[in-house]
Formats: sequence, structure tokens, C-alpha cells
Amino acid sequence: MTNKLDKQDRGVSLGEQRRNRAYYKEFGPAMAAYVVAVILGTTIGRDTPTKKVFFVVATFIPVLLGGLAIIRHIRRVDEFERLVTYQALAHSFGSAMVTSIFLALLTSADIHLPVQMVAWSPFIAGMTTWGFLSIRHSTGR
Amino acid sequence: MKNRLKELRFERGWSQGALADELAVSRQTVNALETGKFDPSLPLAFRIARLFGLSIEHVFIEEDTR
Repeated sequence: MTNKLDKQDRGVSLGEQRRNRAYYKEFGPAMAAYVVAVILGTTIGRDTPTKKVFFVVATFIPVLLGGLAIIRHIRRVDEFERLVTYQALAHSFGSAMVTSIFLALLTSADIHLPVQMVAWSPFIAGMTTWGFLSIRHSTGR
Repeated sequence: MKNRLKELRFERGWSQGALADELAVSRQTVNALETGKFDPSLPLAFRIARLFGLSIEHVFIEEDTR
């Protein structure tokens, strides 16, 4: 049996295009606002407590909006896509937890790493895992 | 669980994207169903069967696990 019908069709379906557009419309501005907030935070400076609080709030609100966009996207996708996303999230959570425990054990052993590194490592581990699994899913491997 | 999705789609000359649109799912979902990587929920299985004008047991074949 020919597989011409598969070869002609490597893109996304129309429904998927609509869902992706809606996701990018919500997630894109949130991330753009985050970048603007970070740039403002570094150019204006964080020398006073008021500026520090402003920087935290200004960067955290877009992060929350980005999270909201992801939740709304998960609600829109079909059952298989949702399952794959939940699996990727579960693996990311696992890798963030393992990284967190590893860092905690290092601290217990009096091996002190820079605070920024300790704070960001679980996030980086989680996002890297999520990114890797998402790419693997989208390439069909 | 085995299924005849690919065979039925080919009979109708539909692409994976066209079938995905009919079922309101993604093309990856159709691909996962056809390759047996994913078993659909009952509502989706009914939707697939209804689309091809067949009963569920004519689309999905239970593998003997005994």
C-alpha cells in the first residue's frame, strides 16, 4: 500500500494551527513583557528597596501570565497531546527534584555553591528536561 | 490495541492532517493512533468509528493478551 498520503502531509492540521496561534498570542506577549522587565531592571538599576520590589513584581507577573498561557494551551489540546505534555511535566518535575536534593546534600556536606547557582539549577534542570522531551515528541522520536 | 485507522484513511484518500481535522485532534495524535503508540479514550474511539461509519470493533481490534 502506498504511503504517498503520509509523505504529502508533514505539517500540522488546521485545528492545531488555530490552537498554536492562540497559544503564541498569549505566551508571546507574556515573554516579551518579561524581557522588557528584565532589561528595565538592569538599566534602571536595583539600588533601592523600592526598585528591587518593582523588579521582582515586574518580572514575576509576566512569568505568571506565561504559566497561565501554558495551562490554557493544555486545556485546548487533544487527549494525546495532553498526555504527552503531562508526562513531560512529570519528568521535568522529577529532574528538578533530583537536582534540588543533590544541591541540598552538597550544602549538608558543607560544599557551598554560589546562591544564584543553587536557586536556578532546579529550574534549569526542569526546563531542559521539558525542552528535550518536547523536541523529541515534535520530531516523532 | 491494533486498529485499522491507516487502512480506512487510505481507502478514503485522506491525509493524516485531513483526518486530524475531521476528528479535531492533532496530526501527531493521528500518527500515534496509527502506529499503535496511543490507545484512544472511548469518546474519541466512538468519534473515529462514527466518522468511518463503522462500529468500534470494526476499527479497533483487541489483541489477545491471555
